Amino acid sequence: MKRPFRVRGGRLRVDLEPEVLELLSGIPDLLENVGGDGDPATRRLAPVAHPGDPAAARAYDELTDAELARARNVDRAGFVSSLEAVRTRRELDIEEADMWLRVIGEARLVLGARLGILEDGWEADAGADPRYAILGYLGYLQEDLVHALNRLMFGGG
Amino acid sequence: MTAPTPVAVPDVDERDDVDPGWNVVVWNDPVNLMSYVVFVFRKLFGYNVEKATKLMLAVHHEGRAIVAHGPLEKAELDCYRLHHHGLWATLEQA
Repeated sequence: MKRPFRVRGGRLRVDLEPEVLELLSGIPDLLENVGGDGDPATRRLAPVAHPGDPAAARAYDELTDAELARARNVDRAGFVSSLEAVRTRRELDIEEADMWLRVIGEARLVLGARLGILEDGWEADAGADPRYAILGYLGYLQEDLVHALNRLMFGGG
Repeated sequence: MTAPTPVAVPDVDERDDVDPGWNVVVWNDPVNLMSYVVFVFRKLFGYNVEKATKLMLAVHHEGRAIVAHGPLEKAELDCYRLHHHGLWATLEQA
């Protein structure tokens, strides 16, 4: 199988089937619908920074919540536009690839939280549940992209 | 070859007595990829691959690791950047 992300001549080549691009294009909707007290994904994406100190934790949230939301919107917008562009240009620059890593990673965290995955080793008994399959597949893409970005940013594997 | 004459240098910055600072702690989670966690430590903190890998393995095997340390404002910024990258980070007084 061809690797989805490859470094050639200092550039990041993307080789993804249209069906995969279609699957990825559903991620922003998934992320935008995270919310509410009943959604275990909410806190996973914004962990309590001061677990032993509710007042400090609230102050931290007040300081960072808006900025975190803004940064994630920038990531999603960059993901959406580069996802569209990659259909023809078949390349990502470092900044775009970095956004892809975060957006795909966030999607995995949301799926994992909603599936109630709390312990290591879940891959072994994930069974045939398609949600686990998507989690695993997004992990495969993220892993490959990490290796490509390592080469581009740090010159190693 | 030669070596410089040893000079006694205190290990601990005396300012630490006044404010011990804050630790940035990353906790194990079952979903983030090990390779991604190493990447994030290298990117955010400039650690080399050996140090970043050692910290990732400490998180994985011991459940948590202190990945950075500093005054509260810097520690909170580091924590925020880790949250932005999807890592489970918290703060504690050193």
